[in-house]
Amino acid sequence: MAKLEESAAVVDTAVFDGPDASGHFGPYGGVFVGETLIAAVEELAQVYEKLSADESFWAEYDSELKHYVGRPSPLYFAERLTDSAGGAKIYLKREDLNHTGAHKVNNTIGQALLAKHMGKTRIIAETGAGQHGVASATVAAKLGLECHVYMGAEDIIRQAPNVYRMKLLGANVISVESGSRTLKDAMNEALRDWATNVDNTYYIIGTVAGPHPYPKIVRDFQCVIGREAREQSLEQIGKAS
Amino acid sequence: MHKLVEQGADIIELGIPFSDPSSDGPVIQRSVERALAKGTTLNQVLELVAQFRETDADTGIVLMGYLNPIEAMGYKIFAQAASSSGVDGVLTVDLPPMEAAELNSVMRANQVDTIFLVAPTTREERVASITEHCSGYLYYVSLKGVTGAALIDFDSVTANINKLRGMTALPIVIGFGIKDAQSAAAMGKLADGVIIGSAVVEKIALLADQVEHDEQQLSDTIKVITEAREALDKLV
Repeated sequence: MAKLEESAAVVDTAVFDGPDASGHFGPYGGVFVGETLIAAVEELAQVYEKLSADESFWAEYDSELKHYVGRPSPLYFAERLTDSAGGAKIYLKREDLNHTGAHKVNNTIGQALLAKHMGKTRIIAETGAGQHGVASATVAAKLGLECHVYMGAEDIIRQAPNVYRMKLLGANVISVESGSRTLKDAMNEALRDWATNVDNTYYIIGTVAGPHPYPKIVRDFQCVIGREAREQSLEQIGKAS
Repeated sequence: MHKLVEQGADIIELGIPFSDPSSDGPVIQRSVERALAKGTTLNQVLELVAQFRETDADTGIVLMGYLNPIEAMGYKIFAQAASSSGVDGVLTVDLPPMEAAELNSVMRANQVDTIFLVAPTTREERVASITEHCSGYLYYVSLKGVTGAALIDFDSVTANINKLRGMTALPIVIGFGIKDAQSAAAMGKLADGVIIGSAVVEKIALLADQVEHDEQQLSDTIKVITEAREALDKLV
């Protein structure tokens, strides 16, 4: 296990195909937001470029993953599921055992550190099922930042336990009544909030979506799952592919 | 639309309904939801322009919306259809200039202007790259926020418009948050034009479920345009 902890969180971006300098992944990606938010995403891209080249930033992130999130998460051979399915060996990477119960926290803890480095005092997030909202509320509480989570009105009804957890963590959960009242509308509403409060607000996006540099940032912070899984595969199975 | 012209509108910005209007406040959001619920398409918007052009060849028509419906139609088909319908300009709020080269060249080839926004958060170094891609007029966003918001900071707008004047010869119009004769006059002192959106759409919403409207109802609906026009004419 010692080896795993040491190798936890250095992102080697050379292994990736993208994004290019303008934030594109081939024909995808890029920056498609209103002009009001351009300065904010450009600032984020600059800050992230600087911090992601800084070993001490990754050491800080690494330490949070180990001591707060509880990583590495186990790689578990699901023996009976494998027998039942009758084909390939099935392994489960137990992200559910992270603090807050999902992989979402790998990303939110990293982005909350970015927010702290940028001097932002207010966190906003969108959430669908509520896991990203819970993970955002948790890291905001940890760092003493104000937190507002946008959630579709339909999702609030469907995912009441997560709404309760977010509120317990001190977050303000805002019901989004527009459009289809689900995740994409929550994201639109978060973008509107960001455009209005852009000076003091950091928007934690929970998935590889949104304008550059978000897809890259989320990708980099979630890489820890694959890196650990590879190490653990080598250790448990003797091969990684 | 003809009534808007009669009451003093020089240019009409016509919205292309899109399901995710992330730069718009609640009034415009509800308007696009109504339009989409009734099945309004980009083709129908273009047909509306063509119909309007049968009796009005002069009033500027600018289509305003998001990139997605245009991308879905295809840039070339859209540009040709826009041009032949009589559209003068297109403003896509979520298409920043650095992503706009392809759409721009197709629109220009079809003699349609491409209008871009400058926001209070836009850094000075960026303005040149915006004005380089922009034609027709430059749209200054009066506040940090979404359409229909209410907190215009007059001093900051004044300072920014003065700076922009030194950086471009394009006409500058101001929009977002202009809702009555008073705000129109205040912004009109600084700009070549003012844009009133949510304040009109809010009134139009009241007529949404009616099939027929009489002249009086139409005049009441766009009263804000009439009053803004009068206030602006007094400035000259």
